[in-house]
Amino acid sequence: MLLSAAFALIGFGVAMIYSATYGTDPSSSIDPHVVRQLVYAGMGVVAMALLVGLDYRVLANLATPLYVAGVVSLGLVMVLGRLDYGARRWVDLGFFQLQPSEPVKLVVVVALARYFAANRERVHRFTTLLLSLAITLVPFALTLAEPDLGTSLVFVAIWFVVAYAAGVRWRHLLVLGGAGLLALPLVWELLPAYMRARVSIFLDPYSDPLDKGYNIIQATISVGSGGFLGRGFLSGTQSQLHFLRVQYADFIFSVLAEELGFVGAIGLFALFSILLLRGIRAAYLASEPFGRLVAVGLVAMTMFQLFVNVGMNVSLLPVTGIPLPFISFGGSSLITFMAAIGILESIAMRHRKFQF
Amino acid sequence: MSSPEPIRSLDEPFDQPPDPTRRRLFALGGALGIGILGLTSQLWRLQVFGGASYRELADNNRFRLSRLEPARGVIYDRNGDTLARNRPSYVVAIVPADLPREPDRARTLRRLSRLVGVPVGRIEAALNDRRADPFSPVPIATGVETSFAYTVEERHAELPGIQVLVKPVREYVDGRLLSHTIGYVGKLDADEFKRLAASGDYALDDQIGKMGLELVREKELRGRPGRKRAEVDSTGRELRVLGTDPAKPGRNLHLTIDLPLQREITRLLAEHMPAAEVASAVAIDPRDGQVLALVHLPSFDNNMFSRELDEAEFKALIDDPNKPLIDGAIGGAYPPGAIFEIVTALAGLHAGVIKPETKIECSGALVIPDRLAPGGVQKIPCWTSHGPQDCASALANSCNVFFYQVGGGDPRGSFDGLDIDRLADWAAKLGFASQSGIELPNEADGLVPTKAWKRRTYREDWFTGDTYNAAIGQGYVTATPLQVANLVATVANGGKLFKPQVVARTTDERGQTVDGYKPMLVRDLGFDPAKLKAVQNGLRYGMLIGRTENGTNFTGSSWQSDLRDLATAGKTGSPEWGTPDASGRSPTHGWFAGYAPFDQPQLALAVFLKRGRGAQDAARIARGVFSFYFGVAEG
Repeated sequence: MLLSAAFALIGFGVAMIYSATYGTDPSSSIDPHVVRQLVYAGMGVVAMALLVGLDYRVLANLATPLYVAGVVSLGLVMVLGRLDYGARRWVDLGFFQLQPSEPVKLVVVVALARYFAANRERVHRFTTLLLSLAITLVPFALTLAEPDLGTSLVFVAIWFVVAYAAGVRWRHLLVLGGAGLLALPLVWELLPAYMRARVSIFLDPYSDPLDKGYNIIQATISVGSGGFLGRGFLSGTQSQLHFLRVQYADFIFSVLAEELGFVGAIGLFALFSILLLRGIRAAYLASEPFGRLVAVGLVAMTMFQLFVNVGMNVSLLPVTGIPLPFISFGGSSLITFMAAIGILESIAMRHRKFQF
Repeated sequence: MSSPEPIRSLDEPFDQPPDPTRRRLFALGGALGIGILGLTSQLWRLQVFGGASYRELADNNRFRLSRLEPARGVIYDRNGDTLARNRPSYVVAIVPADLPREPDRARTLRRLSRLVGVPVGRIEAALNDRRADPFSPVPIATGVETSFAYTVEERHAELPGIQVLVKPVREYVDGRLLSHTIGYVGKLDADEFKRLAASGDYALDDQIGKMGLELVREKELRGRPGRKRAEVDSTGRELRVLGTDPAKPGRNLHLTIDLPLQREITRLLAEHMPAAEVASAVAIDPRDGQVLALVHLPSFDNNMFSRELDEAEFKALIDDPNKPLIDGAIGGAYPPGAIFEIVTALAGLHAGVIKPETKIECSGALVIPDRLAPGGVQKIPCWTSHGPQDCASALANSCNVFFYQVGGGDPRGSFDGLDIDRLADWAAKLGFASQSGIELPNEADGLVPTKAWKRRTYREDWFTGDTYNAAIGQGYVTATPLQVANLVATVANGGKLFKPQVVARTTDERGQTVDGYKPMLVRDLGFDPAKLKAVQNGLRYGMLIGRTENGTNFTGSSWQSDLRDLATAGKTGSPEWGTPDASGRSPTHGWFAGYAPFDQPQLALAVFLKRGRGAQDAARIARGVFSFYFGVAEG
């Protein structure tokens, strides 16, 4: 079920990218983005297969070296990264743009799961929680400095949910949460202008309808005009006439909502629900805390991105630059999530403590 | 595969996970549920509740209503020669809403700037001016070459949001000839736009008539713009046209003006420039009021307003003391001098002050007893001693003494004259001191004084001397060349004052006549035929030397301008104006007013030179005009 849901989502994604890029390149009938996404999916299948076959507990042992590698790669991207729209997020590997912050999410999940599992007895202590936060803060800060606010928030979400699932005291979480809230004004001051602009434009997109507010307004129009049944595949006027910029990436949900309507969106949610519930089931069935926490972390990661991306598309949240798992165009994201599915499947399969 | 190094957690029993974690897993599931629910409800709100209005917004995005320019009417002369027409020209424009976001925007503007040679700063300034309406094209470069326009079109992909529009440019054939009458078109200014924008027929970049017929007949010449509904993509490129409401082309104007005559009169007047400073001429058909020629120098080339206006050139025109931008033929009021004697004559005859056979002696001066010094006299001189004059010979000779007395009476008291109020009344009936109603703007009223007027203006009483001056068209009297031409036209046609008109007919785009010419009679003066004949003869004698039937002699003031093969009639005038020079002499205007042929008049003419002598200059010009128009030799 997990795998089927995942492949269904991937297929869905390729179809939507096809629609989003339909007709843009007059020389070929299929836009290169579609082809590339299929290639990435192929690469993802390989990664998935490897991780399914692998006993996930190996990852526990590799947690520390993986973590170090992850941090280093984030540091490297600041130096070697391609400057794109004022941010350095990718390393150009020629045929492939690697965005290290994507796989590093998996690394953080593993590292936190390992930490909490290893410190199970001390989980009620505040220091345990603080240390876990410290583990998270390094990649968080490095990602934030790229700058990539959206992805850095994923790390925080992962930390929060894994800590919660590991059994830390409610009070401790509240204290940290409260401290976070109090720090908000300070954080607001420290935020660079463009991030503040994102929030204010979210609150009133019509204050700059042709520039900053444009995508938000167009996304809302796209989603709304889909109606109940949608405009029809390849027939959404907003999508086909390209009123949304770069609609095969973060705003792909708008294309889906316009062309497949409310029913199409509910269908997407159904697939995601199946996937995530299977993930929670894997956590439930896991044979030991490490596996449980890894599963929880992967579910949290996926759920957070689903909510934030769709929320952004339906103007419930400001624009954050987080891709929709499995659907948005992007190799690093797709392969990371397919790897995550591989790990989840590995956990689910090994719940009766036999080895393959 | 060997088992990896076990971690402590492997020692844990394989029973159910501890309760807190299980509970917390349920909480995670719950969070999933809540999240999905929240997103679903927002989707419901947008798609199901708001679906219709969002669909409308999506349609607003892709359907664009654009304007179709109407073709402006063409202006022809009475023979069908083109005077004003539209020449197509290409304009490179930006539709701000279709420009890409940064950084492509800056790149596109740079590319455009290099292509059309307009600095990016100017382009940005132009875009900024139009922030309020991002869907209207902002013109960046006008009058670009055709080949260049094609280049921009070809490179459409690299220039999103850039459009090439075809915008007609108004072209005036031989711009200097009729620039005052036709006028010119220019961009709407702020006030005009405010006034007209509401109707939806005018956009910010439209041209509107600013002067002359272009201004007065703007509505007819413009037509009405049409609309086109098209589907566009996000770069503004039209994908298909969904419907058109075609533009209604403007009406064409066929003027009463005879272009060859206009050209010839202009040439004749130009020979006296720049010495004359200002020269005007008006030619009217006395049978129906059609204006055959309307000339005023100095003139200007109205094509200068169709190109990018040369600021220096324009300033030179405004600063020129002779005011080339004003049409002096209808807007300049000058003392008419002896021409006005025609009015005095008509008034005197019809008021019964004199009869056609009444003779008054001219001994070279008007002798007025000086009331302050008993026995003393004042003498107001005439040109020469004319001897006994009747009305006709007095007109031909331009005898001041005769008309002083018709106006102000015999100073020795043997008869009363018209007095100023009756003279002013007749002048007003003949079209003086008020606008003729010609449809061109800025017509002057001119002035004929009355006692009340003087009291109002100068707080002084009226003197008899003022009447004398008025009777010979000096003093406070002023008139426009148009009023003078209309005067002789009325005399020529037997007493009908017509409203002068410059438009003969209007036609639609297929050449069908919409409005024909309708003569507008202002009033029928009701002249007594015998009295009118005396005046008409007086004008005929003005071109001859001889003796009237009453036995009075005349030497027509313009006898040197007579044509051998055509009987013409006319009067000259050389009123003084301005300040006298050291030797006591003041400059004079040069007037001619007359018509031809004498028996069946077809052309009434007024010629005016600001610095000139009536018989010497203006009459000679008139001779040239009659000779040309009627195709007879001069001399």
